[in-house]
Amino acid sequence: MTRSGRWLVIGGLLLAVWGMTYGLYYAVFVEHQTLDTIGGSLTGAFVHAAEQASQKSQASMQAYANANYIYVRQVDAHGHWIGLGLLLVVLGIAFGRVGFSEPARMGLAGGLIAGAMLFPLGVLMETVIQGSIPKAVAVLGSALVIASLAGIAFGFSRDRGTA
Amino acid sequence: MLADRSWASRTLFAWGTLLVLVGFFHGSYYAGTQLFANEASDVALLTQMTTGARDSAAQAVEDYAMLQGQKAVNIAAHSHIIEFGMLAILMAFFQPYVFLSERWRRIWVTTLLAGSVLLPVFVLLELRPGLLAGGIADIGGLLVIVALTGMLAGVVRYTGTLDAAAGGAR
Repeated sequence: MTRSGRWLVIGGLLLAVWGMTYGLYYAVFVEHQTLDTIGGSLTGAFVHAAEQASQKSQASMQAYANANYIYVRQVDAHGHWIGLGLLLVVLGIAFGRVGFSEPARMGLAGGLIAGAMLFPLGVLMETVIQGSIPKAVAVLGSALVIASLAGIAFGFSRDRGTA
Repeated sequence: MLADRSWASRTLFAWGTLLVLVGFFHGSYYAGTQLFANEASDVALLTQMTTGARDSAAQAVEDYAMLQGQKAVNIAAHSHIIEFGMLAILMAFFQPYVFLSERWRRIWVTTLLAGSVLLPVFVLLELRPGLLAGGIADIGGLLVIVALTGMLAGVVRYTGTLDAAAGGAR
């Protein structure tokens, strides 16, 4: 296995372990409470509306929106970390077949690992930081993943067994 | 496994990575341009259901169903194309064990990739042409199943002693 491939496998496994650890923590300590909040607040919004208590209904709807916003991102972030981790492992095993020089492969591997870490991190940051910084981190991460994957796909297509 | 440099293997590696790329790009595009708007619409429609008059609430329910459909097809399309990409990469590893002639290996690779593109693209289009797009997406899924079955047949043949004794695939 090439050095770049080994980096991808190690990076991918670390990312998968991290994503699963985060998911486990989230499932045990946060998820059920969040789902209760989502269900309870949505029910509350309709019940209060039926009771003609529009302010309470609006407050419950806002609580639903906030909880749902966080829930979607928490689930997406850990799922994407794990998914990208597995992609890194699979690509790492065959990385010697990317038909570029080893330094170029190291660059692609580095870009992919960095992007795979940053993209879900940016999504997760959206739940705690307001403004454009989290979005910028997510965009940077996804751009790195997309650019690296484009390079890797091209490298696979030009592999003729010389690498 | 990794020594195989056949057309089938190279094509699956390159196109598999490309499929993952396209799926990732679509997911990022959806998250960047539509996710926030969809979340706002979600709350706005639910609010309309609770505060609006009967007709307005009925319209909100209809719009809410459409919004859920939009979310579902976007999520399904990008996750399916990524999963098919991963599948193609994994199948690239196994190509040396697909004991079929080069022609049939190429047919199954092309079928797999065609289905992998058709299904997600037409899942995404399901909200517009509706049933027709859904039917084409189903055909895409069927192509993937057929291709995998074809490759599986090749893998099964590889382990057969009769084939080994015959000296090669025909």
